This record gives sequence, C-alpha cells and structure tokens, in this order.
Amino acid sequence: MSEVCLNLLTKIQFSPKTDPLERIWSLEHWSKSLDKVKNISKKYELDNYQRFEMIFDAENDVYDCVEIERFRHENEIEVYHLVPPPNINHLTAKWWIDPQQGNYLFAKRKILLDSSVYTPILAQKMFLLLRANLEKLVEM
Amino acid sequence: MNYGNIAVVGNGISAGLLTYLLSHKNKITLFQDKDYIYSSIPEIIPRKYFFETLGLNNNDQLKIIDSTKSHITDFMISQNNSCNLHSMITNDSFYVFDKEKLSSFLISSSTLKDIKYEKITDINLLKKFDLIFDCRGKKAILNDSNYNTRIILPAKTKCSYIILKSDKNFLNTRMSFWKNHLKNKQTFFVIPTGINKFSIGCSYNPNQYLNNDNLIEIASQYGFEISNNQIISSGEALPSILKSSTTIKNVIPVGEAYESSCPLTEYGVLKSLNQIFKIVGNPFIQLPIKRPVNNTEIDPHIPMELFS
Repeated sequence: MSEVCLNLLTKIQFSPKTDPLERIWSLEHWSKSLDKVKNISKKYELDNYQRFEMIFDAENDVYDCVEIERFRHENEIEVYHLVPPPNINHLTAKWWIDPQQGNYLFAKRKILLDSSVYTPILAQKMFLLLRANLEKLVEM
Repeated sequence: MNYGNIAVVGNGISAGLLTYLLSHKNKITLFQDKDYIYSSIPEIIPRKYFFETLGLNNNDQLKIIDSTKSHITDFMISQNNSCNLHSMITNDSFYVFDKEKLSSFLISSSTLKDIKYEKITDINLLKKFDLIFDCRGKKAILNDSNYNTRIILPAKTKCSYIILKSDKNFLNTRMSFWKNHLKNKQTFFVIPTGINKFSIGCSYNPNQYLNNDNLIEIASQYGFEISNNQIISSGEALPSILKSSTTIKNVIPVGEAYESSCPLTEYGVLKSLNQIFKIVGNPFIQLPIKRPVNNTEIDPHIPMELFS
C-alpha cells in the first residue's frame, strides 16, 4: 500500500509578555483552552518529558484516543504519537521559537497515511485543526 | 580454503558469514531451522572493521546497510530525571542492522549446493559430509549431548523480559530505556518486536531475581499498564561466556557454538568473525571485540556507541 506524507507548517505571533512554549507544554493549558480536548491522562512525566493519553474530538463519529510522547528542549517541543489517530499511520509534530525570527511560534506536523485514505479535503481539515489549536493555545 | 563437501548448520550471522566466505570454493549444504525466531533488537558493530575485512567497498556497504536496516530508527534514554532521544541508524563509525535481514542477505549472496530446512538437534546425525560447521546458538548446543560446555566467565548482566501484544497500532520504531541506579544498577526497557508486539523487561545484576509480577510492577512505575491477557511469553537471559567442544572429529563449532560472548562488553559478531577468518584461511585478521562500555551500564541493548 502506498503512503502519502503530509507536512503542515504554520506560525503565529505571540505577545512578548507570554511564554508560548510553556503554554504548549502545559497539559492543563490544553485541557482549559481547547474544547475539543475531552480528557488527558498523564502516564509519566519528567521536567523534559511527558507521556499521556488524550481523548480528542476530531469531529468523527467517535472521539479519537491517542497516546503521545513529548520532549521539551530550550526552544522546541518535539511530539511523537505512540498511538496515532485512526486512519493515520504515523504522526509527529514540532513546536518551536527562533529568537532571531522575532515573536513567532512555529508549528509543524508530519503525517503519514495510506494514499487510499488521503483527500485534499482531509488535508485541509487537518491544517485548519492545527491552525485553530495554535490560535487558541497562544491567544494573547 | 577448500574443504570439499561441507555442511553449515545454523540460522544466525555466523552461519551467514561463514557461508558467504566459503561458498565460492566449497560445495555447501546449509541446514536451517525454518521456525527459528530471530531477535528483532538491532545489533551494532564498528562499521569499518566489519566491512573492510570482508573486502566490501563503499557502494557495496551502502547497499547492504540499506537492505539490512532495522525497523527501529531511534531510542530514548531516561536517566537523572531527564529523557533524551537518539538516532539509531548506521553512521560513519557504526553499522546498525537487523540480524534476520543480514543473515538472509549473506545467504542470498552465496552460492549453495543445497539448502535444507531441517531443525538439527543432534549434530552426529549429519552424515556424508567431509566437514560440518556447527553455527547453532548457545541453547541448541547446550541441548545437544555431543557437546561438553563449561563456563569460562560468569554473566555480568541478566535480563528478564515479557513479550506482549498490543491491541493498538503502537509506534514500532523506538526503543526506550529507563535507567534507575539508585540502589542497584537496573534498566527497564520497552522494545517493539514486531507489528503490535513489544517486549518489556529489565537488565540488572545477575545475583538478583525478578519475576513477571516484578516486571509488571516496574512497568507501572513508568506508566505502562500491563494486563495478563497481553502476555504472549516471558523469558530470562543470563549471558555467561561458555566454551563448548565436541569429540566428533569432523564437526567444528563456530561462533556462539564455540565460545559465546557477553553482549554488554563484547561484539559477538566480531568475535565470531575472528574465528571465521582463521577457518577461511586469513589467520592474521584480528578484530578488536571489546565494546566501549562504562561501568554504569548494565543493559547490553543500549547502543551506547551512539551517544556519550
């Protein structure tokens, strides 16, 4: 079965009074800011590491249940789906800032899926979801 | 070296390397167990020594590296309250490979007289060969009454593990290691071993003992909840260095069958290759077999060569 690799990339300006990576890192902030996040249960946590299960409303018939591993670096958060959403074979993401680029938070999502599942509408839906999450999480 | 009509017995890398190096001058019948289960934990060895002594140029190397790569591409280590990810792919210094893929690559690159899919439990039942190279693993040798085996060095590490099935489509490209050296050296690991199958376990001091309940308890400390109906099998490995010999005149034990290795401190493949070069007529090749291990390490599965 052939696969399609989708790379979604976006950025958003943040207020210099806030720490956007800290907001992205905080799972409490995810629960509070995103209505679509129905539940998060932490499995293991260290200062620079998180593993958790998340129930997410991706507007499918049933909620998605995913398991995620995240790594915190100075200017970056790396995200790996240990259990990706249904119909997705592999999902990784990265949130980062680049002090030389000013007050922008960048977000990238890399998605591998079977080509039989892929449609441009699905790609658009995924991008809009990423964009909406980003806006709500970083809201000034 | 021409040995005439010979048999090679075994599924592993030693059988593959010996066959590969002898097949152009000898009539080889290869005996393999078709139910043999290969470990899916990738192996790591110094790249230059391995390929250059085999006479493989850079183009050949890249071809072999690509066709023998493991499904595992990175590993995570947690120690001192911090987790770090490292890449687990072949680089200029180290070759990382899947044992089953390398073994079948070597065999498919060799000219064989015949290949027989037969599990050999008694090496003395093989007749009509001028010479038999016995490249079976430690377990097969211990169960074959034609061999005498003695321990020449006690195990430096021990490993207890459980193979589990997962009902979810779990990421199978990453191994994870959780070091806990507070009281005794102990490393908990999670290693994917196939589609929706993974192994959890601990490497620890050989004078201690952990059963399945202990492993499940340790797993839960790291947030891995395991239920009994996920368990496929469990086991223990205690890699003492064993030396074996047989009185059957035309049987030559090779690799693990001759002298097993300590995976924590030695490159088993290079140790075996040193012996194989003597057999094929290159007695002066002597590869360094020691792994660069520091004394805080207890888990042989950690590719310590790839980070410092």
